[in-house]
This record gives sequence, structure tokens and C-alpha cells, in this order.
Amino acid sequence: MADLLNLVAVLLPAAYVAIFGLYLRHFLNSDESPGFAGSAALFGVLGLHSLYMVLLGIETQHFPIATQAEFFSLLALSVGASYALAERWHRDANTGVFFVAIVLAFQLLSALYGGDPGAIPERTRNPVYSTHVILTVFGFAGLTVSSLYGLMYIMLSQQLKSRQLGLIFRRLPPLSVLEKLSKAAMTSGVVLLGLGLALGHYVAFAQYGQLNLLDHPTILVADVAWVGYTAGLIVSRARGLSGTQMGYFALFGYLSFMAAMAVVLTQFGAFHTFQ
Amino acid sequence: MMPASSSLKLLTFSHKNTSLTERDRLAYTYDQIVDFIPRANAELGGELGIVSTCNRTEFYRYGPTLDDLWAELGPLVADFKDLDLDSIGSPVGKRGVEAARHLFRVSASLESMALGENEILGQVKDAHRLILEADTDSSTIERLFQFAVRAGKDVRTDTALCEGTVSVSSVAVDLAQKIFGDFSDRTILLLGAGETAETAAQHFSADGASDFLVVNRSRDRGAALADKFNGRFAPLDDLQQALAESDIAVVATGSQEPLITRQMLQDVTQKRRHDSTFLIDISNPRNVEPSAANLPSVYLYNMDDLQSVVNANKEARREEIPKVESIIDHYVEEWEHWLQQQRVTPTISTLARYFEDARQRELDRHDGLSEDERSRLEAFSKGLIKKLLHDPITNLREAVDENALSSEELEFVWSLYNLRDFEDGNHED
Repeated sequence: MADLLNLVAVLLPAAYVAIFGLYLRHFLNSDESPGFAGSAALFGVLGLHSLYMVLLGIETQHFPIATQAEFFSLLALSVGASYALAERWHRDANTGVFFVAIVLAFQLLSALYGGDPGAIPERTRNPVYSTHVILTVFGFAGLTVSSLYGLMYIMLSQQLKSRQLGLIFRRLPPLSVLEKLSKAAMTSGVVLLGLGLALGHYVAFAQYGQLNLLDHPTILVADVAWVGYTAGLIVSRARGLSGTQMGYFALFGYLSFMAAMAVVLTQFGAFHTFQ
Repeated sequence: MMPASSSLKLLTFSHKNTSLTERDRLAYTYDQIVDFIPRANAELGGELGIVSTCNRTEFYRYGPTLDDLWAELGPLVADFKDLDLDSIGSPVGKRGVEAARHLFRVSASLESMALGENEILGQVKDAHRLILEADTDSSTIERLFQFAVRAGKDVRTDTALCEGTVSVSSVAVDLAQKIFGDFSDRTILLLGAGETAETAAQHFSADGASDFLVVNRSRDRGAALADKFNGRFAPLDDLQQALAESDIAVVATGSQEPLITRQMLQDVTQKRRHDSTFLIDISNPRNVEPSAANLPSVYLYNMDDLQSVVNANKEARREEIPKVESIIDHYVEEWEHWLQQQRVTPTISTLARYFEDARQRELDRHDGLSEDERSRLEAFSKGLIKKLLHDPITNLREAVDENALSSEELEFVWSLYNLRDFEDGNHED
């Protein structure tokens, strides 16, 4: 089993490289005939990736979220799965190249961090803690997807406004679709992240009692980001925001979240570290 | 089997060399093509394929070379179409590789009036299907059309020749689609009820729009246009409300002052909760204040903007021509290679049978040989024939691979050994 898992761990980045190539070709060329092979291949590889994560968990007797390699692999899977669902929904594979590039980057990071996992933290055998991590990662993936669709909206809108209609204009789906996908991804990201954070608070409370958030800036940043996203969604529903405003919100909300996390992790260290 | 001296020839009547009236007279329906092909093949020998569209009628014939194909084919066409041959101008003729190249260029739409149009590929596909339906032995010409369809497909998938639209009204619809996707749940406002607004409405209607709102100074004209598209009419005083209800506005009035101001649109976007609004101002002078284009969810295009998109699309298509030409070159090479293979394979097999026949006849002349002597002579003669044929066959195959074998050279091989007589059973010792 271990040999098989090692083999799949090597094959996955290679498979994502191949799929990236298919999506890139699809984006650059104008083939709009039905039955794009890349879509089926992506679903196949995501299936294999999911199976790999499950078998890895069974083999090592823990949820595969203990190491940096496992974390990045889960991140790759969650972004890939979120995109694949979006592609199924709006039946357009032209945006795939951007998402598969992110999936590939995360999976390559996972491969770089691979190797001997060492001692596996006991908490990764706890289903509640692990569900917290998985929900948080999937929530984060939703926000990633939302920000990328937001960016595409801004780019396409700018081309339409400037009347400089290039490749972006020709290949991206309509603004209305990009807006809908960005909003849907953000909503599901906020819901999943909210559930993940709530479970995280529960686990922390059960383990450590009452937490002072100022002592744990990682949690504070995640909570603030969640509140910001939720407020943004409520405002957009109540008052109405233009597609461009939503695009900027999705993009800069995400970048601010990432920047804040990066500062906190480098300055203060993580609340729970990965090996 | 088609003689090695067979060749491909094309006669074309197109928008480049024939008037519309002549093209109309020469146009073939699909049923006529299926009827005419077997008739022409029986009369002239060889294989015929016909491409007939509103811009061209072209005859592609592969078969024994005729000095003047139109002199032979013209009377058949005149008889079939019941027209006076003298009333039709002369076709442009091409032969061999240039004829094949022409068909591939047609399929790629390089020969079309509108560069990069898509319809022609479907018409070449139909021409290919009709050759098959004509139910005659047309394997070579059928293969030529197969190559043409493949070339046309490759051009459309591997180049941007057919991308972007090249008419103002199509560009307007394209832009609207890029903002809203489909129009099934979108409202189209027609400000003005003239011919321009009606034409625009027809384009949007053809692309799925069904909810039209007409605003016009004159109630009668406005209501009449609204009725035509099962839409609603609103007076000019209700323009702001109409804009708030609409996703797309086609502005085509004769007003000398802007009817839609920036302030009006600012209020409208608030009412629309910042949903996108696409304004197409095709009035002269402009009827939408240009500064309205700076509002975040407003996309404003005037006539000049649309025309510049058309020009850019045309230019982008022209820039793709070298890529298209290289795809066509590739298929011309493939076609030539295939054709030479078709010619050389029967030559090699006939040559081999000719030598085997000679060997057998020579052996039969030696009676009274013992079993052992005969078997040694068999082995010797087979070896000798094999050696004698090795170089000619290898050279023929290499010449095909290098596209270096002419019809005349191949014909020379046939005449050198009287292979045609041998094939017909008239060979003498």
C-alpha cells in the first residue's frame, strides 16, 4: 500500500501538469466543440486524488492534514473540486487554466514538502478537529475560487470599458456568469469557513478552556476575515453592489486575508503548526 | 483502376470572375448535384465533385486528362441546367496541386467574400456528403474533399481566423452577450422606432431576446414597432423608468440633443441596484452623454466604437492568414503524398505480378527437369526476380515519400513493360 501511495504522490503533479496543458491549449485555441477531454481528465484525476487522500488516511491511521505536504495536497484537491463543480454548473472550460494552475502549484508544494512525516500529532486522529480543518480548507478554497472569478470579472469589464477586446474578451464567459460564480463561491466559502471556525473554537475551548483571541492572532485574523466577508455579502444582498465592486471585494478581501495571515504566521507563529 | 496519367482539374465560377446573375444560373441544388455527378462521370470518365454556394459553383474532376475540360463538361452543364452556354463566361481553371490547394483555401474561407466566415465549411462538408450519396466510384475525389474538411476544421481550431464578428450589428450582439450571456430573461429597450432600431431588434430577437420595450416620441410608430416584436410601448417622458427596467438599450433617434444624460443613468443604476446596463448609441449626433461611459456598471458603445471593433476583428483575421496558409500547405503535402501512394501501389503490384508471370512462363518452358532441379531453378529464379525488383520498388517508394514522382515518370514505368496490356491480358511473349 505504501509503495502505491508513493507512486500516486509522484503521479499526481504529473497528471495536473498534463491537465494544465490541455486547459491551456483549450484557452488559447478556439475549439468550442463539445466533449473537451480536459474536463473528463480533471474529474478523473480529482477522483484519484480523493482516493489517494482517503487511502493515505487509512494507511497512516489519521486524517491527512498533519503535515505540510498533506495540507497543500488537501488545498489542491479542494480548489480543484470547487472549480470542477463550477465548470459543471456553467458548462464552460475556458477559465479552467487559471484554476488548474493553482491546483498544480499547491500539489507541487505538497510534493516538495513530501517525505518522512515523522511523528503524527495525536489531534489529527480526532474527527472533530479534523472536520474543522477540512471545512476550513474547503472554505478557503471557496474564497480562492471567488477571488479568481472576481479578478476575471474586473479584467473582462476593463476590456469592455476600454474597447480593447483581446484574448480575455474572446475566451472568458460573460460578466453575468463570472459574477454569479464569484458570488456562489464566496457564499459557499463563507458558510464552510464559518462552520470550520465554529468547530475550531469548540475544539479549542474543549482543550484549553476560554481563549483570549489577542493571544492567538491566527484565529483572530480568520474570525475577522469571516466577519468581513459575511458583512460584505449582507451589504451586497441588501443594497446591491455592482459586479465590479463585488469583483474588487472578492479579490482584495482575499488578498488582505492572505497578507494578514502571512504577517501573523511569520511574526507570531501558528496556533497549530504543521510539520 | 484510374490510369496513372489521371489528374485533378478544377473549374471555378466564383464572385471573383462571375456576375451574380451567372452564379445564380449555375447554382446547383443538392438533388441536382446527386443527379449530375453520375451523369458527368459516365460521359467523361473520372470522378466529379461540385461545390455550389451563393458565391461559387466549382467543378473538381479527377480522371484521365482532358485538354479542355470545359469544352467537354460545359455542354453537359448547359444541357442539365437548360441554359445557353454562350451566356456564361469562362471559368477559371486550375490543375493538380493548385486545384487541391484552391479547395482547401475555400474550405478555410480564404476564398470567401467575408474572410473567416464559418458557413463555407458546412457547405464543403455537404459537397463531400453528396459525392458519397451520388453512388459512383469516386474514391479519389471523395478523399480530396475529406482533406478539405479536415483542413477547414484545423483552421478553425488552431487559428483565430474565424473569431470575432465583422458586421456592426453582430458586434453589438456579441458585446451584449459578453455582458449578459443569453437574452432570454433580459429586457431590450429600443429608443427610437426607425429602421435602425428595427434592424437591431431583429438581431437581438434572432439571438433569443423576447422582451422588448419601445420608447419613441411618436406613439403610433413606437407602438407599431413594439407590436412587431410582441413588446411594450412607453412614451418618451417615461424614458428613465424604461431605462431602469432594461438591461440593453439601443439608442437610435434623430434627436439633436442627448436624450440620456449621465445624471439620468446615475439614478438608473441606483434603481437597478448596480446591475450592468449596456447602451448602444447608434444615433447621429449621439444621444447618450459620452461621460456616462465612466459610470461603473454602464457599458456605452457608439457607432465609431462598434466600427473600430469590426475593424480590429477584420485585422485580427487578416493577421491569421500566414498560419492558415501553413495549415493548407500541410494538407496539400498530405494530399500529394496520398495521391502518389494511390498511383504507385498498383504500379508496384502489377510490376511484381508481371515479373512473376514471366518467371513462371520461363520455368514452364523447361520440361523434363527432375524434382530437385526444378526446385533449385524455382529458388534461383525467385531470388533473381527479387533482386531485380528490389531497387525499382525501393526507388518508387522513396520517390513517393519525397513527393518526387511525377505522373509522367509513373506512366513511363507502365509503358516500359507494357503493363497496361499485361493488365488487360493482351501481353505477348
